[in-house]
Amino acid sequence: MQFGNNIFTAIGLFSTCGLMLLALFATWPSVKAYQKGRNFVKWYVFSLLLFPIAFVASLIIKTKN
Amino acid sequence: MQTKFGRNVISHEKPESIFNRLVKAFVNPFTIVLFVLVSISLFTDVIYAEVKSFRIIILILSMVFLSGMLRFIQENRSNKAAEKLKAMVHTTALVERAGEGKMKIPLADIVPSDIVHLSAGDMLPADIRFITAKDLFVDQSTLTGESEPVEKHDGANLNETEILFELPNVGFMGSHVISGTAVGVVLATGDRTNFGSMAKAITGKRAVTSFDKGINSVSWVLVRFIIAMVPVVFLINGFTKGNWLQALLFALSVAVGVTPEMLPMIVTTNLAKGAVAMSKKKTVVKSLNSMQNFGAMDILCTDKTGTITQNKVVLEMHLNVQGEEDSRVLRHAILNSYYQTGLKNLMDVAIVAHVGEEELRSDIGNYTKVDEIPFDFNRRRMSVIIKDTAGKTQMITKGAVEEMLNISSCAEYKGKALDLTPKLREEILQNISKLNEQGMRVIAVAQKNNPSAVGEFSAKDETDMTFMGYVAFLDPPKESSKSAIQALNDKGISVKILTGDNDAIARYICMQVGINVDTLLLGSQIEQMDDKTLAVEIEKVSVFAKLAPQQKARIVKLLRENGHTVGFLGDGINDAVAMREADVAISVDTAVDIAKESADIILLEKDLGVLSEGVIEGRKTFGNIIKYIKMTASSNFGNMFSVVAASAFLPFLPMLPIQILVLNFIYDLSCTSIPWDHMDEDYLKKPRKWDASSIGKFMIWIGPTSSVFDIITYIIMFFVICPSVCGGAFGAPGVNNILFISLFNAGWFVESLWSQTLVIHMIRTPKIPFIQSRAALPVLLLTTLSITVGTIIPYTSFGKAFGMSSLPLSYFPWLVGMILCYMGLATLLKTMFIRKYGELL
Repeated sequence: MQFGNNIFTAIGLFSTCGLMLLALFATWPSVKAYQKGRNFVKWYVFSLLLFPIAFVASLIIKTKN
Repeated sequence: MQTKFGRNVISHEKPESIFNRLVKAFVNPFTIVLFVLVSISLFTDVIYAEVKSFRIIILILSMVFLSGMLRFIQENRSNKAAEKLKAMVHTTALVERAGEGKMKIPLADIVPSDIVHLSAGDMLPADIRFITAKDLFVDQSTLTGESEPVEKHDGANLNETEILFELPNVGFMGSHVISGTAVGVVLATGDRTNFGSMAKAITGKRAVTSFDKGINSVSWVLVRFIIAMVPVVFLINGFTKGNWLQALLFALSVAVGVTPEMLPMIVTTNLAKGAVAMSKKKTVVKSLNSMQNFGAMDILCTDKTGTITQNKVVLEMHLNVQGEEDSRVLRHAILNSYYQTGLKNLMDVAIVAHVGEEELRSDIGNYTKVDEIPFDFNRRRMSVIIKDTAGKTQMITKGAVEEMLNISSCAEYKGKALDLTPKLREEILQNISKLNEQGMRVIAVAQKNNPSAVGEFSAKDETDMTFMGYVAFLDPPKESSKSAIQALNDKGISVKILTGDNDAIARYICMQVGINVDTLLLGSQIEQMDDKTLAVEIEKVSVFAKLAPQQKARIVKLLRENGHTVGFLGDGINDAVAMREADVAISVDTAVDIAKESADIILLEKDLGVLSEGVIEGRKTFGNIIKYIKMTASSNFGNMFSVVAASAFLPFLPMLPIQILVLNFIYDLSCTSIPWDHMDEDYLKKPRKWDASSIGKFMIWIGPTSSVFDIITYIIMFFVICPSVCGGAFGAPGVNNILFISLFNAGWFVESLWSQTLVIHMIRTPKIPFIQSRAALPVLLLTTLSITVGTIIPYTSFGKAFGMSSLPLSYFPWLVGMILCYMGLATLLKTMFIRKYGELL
């Protein structure tokens, strides 16, 4: 990869891409938690902020009756 | 006469002129946006440009022309197909002309001075002055809004009235005969009728379905996106690049790119194709927009006789009051059926057919008819008054058993009169109940000797009758009914029987065909319930018996209010009210005129199996429309992010305006194949309703997926591919920036085309595309062609003229990798979406 003087472009594109990928992948723990009876929106925000923890937590939590 | 007065058609029903159809095809929210963009481009690219260029204008106008012409051609084809389909449904009238005798002719051929013969169920084909009328009741609700039938007669009008519809001896086109018979002379036809003069107001009112509203709302949402996005893109590019003219052109091109100008054409093509496919399955679609409701239908209300049963009524028994076979009962039934001139039903035909020709002729020859009191649905009986050669008159009445017992004061048994005691009534009813439990339909026969009447006979003379006995008929269920009902149930449609017949017969027949009869509601029970209670009960009950027409309509209305999409299959006069209440009114080709006119869909065979096939076509059509809408909406939403990100972070435009337009053109061409696509079997199993919120959710979930890969393409092109070809990063000393930009444009052009075209395959099914579910051949061919052409363009002089450079071979492994990752991510998002919302489309 050659960045040259295009640091602004690099930061902008990489961070936008990263944020969008995070936003898409964050659906996985939220849907998993939703299937176990949890609130989708709250878990989505949780996943956005702390994705690795949310991912593991969504696997561990038990299904709510 | 026809040369002088013209055909008996209402002028506004004639097809629109070609000019009007062209205007409609070209003028819609999307093409208006494109025309605005052409006007702006005219100023920026031609009038005020240093170097005049018509390329953008030509491209936009080509897209407008393509979309408009495709829509015009498709609507033309669908109008012709609809006219052809409507012509399969015949509406005729019985007319008498001097020198030609009586004949059935199409309604459009009727002229003033024709003599028209009318009976129950007939629509009045013109404005008519009655010259004979017998117990004639006419429904004028289409014209006056009054649901109560109005009695008409043939006498002179003695009351002065200024209100046209109160004229007692004139009937009007647009009304229909409820009961009785009449003969009338035609006074006015076509536009000269009262109906013709009001027709614009009446028939102009077409009910807007949820589908129409939904398509319009999607269109306006997308237009609002464009209006919101264009200034944002313009401002960001203007501030970051400094070239405001170029920023404006780019913003306008993006607006063109996200304008789904093919939406109206694809919707029309889908509906027309679906209607033609349904006609091949013996289902004629009179109203194209009703197809959405047909696919969404989850409850079908239908009558019993002729739909579930064979409608082949056979006279099985003729019994006296003690339940013994008695030929006198049969003889009286025959005389009654033979001499009635009104609405002959299958039981009358079965009665007359029961004896041999010679025997019939010898008996009938001894009598002459004196008068007749026709059948109506309130009295539920009909009478004839006949006179024998000795001058003795008698009234013979047949009808529903309870009504006949009510008008009888004694019974006859072996030539002797018996008191009709409560005990005897009970015995009669018990015998009849046993016959009903065996699936037989029973009507009673009574007679009265030397009936006297002042003037003409009427219903008031049907009293003090002598109850003779009853005749029993069997109308067995069709062999195909059980499997057809099961097929409908498998498709998520529950069948409810709404019949005027008695409960024992209804129960017996429904049990034979697999309909749950654990609970059954009678009309009398329904009458006692308020709407709230009934709304709960109708969910649990599948069979309703002894219903009056208004009760059928009430049940349909409450089912709709409970959130169901209700279809009503009817063929009789008494079904018209319920048909108007239903989401989808279904009738048959052999139905009475008013039922056919009220119907959205007509079956050419009265068979639930035919209906079942038609439902599948309706769902396929709806599915393809939803597919395109969701694809377009999500793709445009995703493009928004890509373009805004590019505008904000790239030091140049990611694609030139002309390149965006070419990309859009190729993509639109590949979308024209969508109406020919398959739908997954799983999709077709359930009723499908228009759900606007589902489109919004789909957009938000799936849209950003392609956007991510657009940004990854920017990264790879900007930091890897272009530097390797141009000898360094953008803006670095010695780097050919013009080559850099043209390579970048070409790279995003190809990736964008691949991802936009492949999304058609990704989104059309919840399954894995190409492996678990494959698109139809036209879709496969056209998408492959689009991708191939788009990939080759940068290597051609056409591509170079539009500012693209040939891509290096090193680009393609990256492209393949990105596309595979894109498909993987899209599959993941699809799976998440389905887990959250239960379905994809």
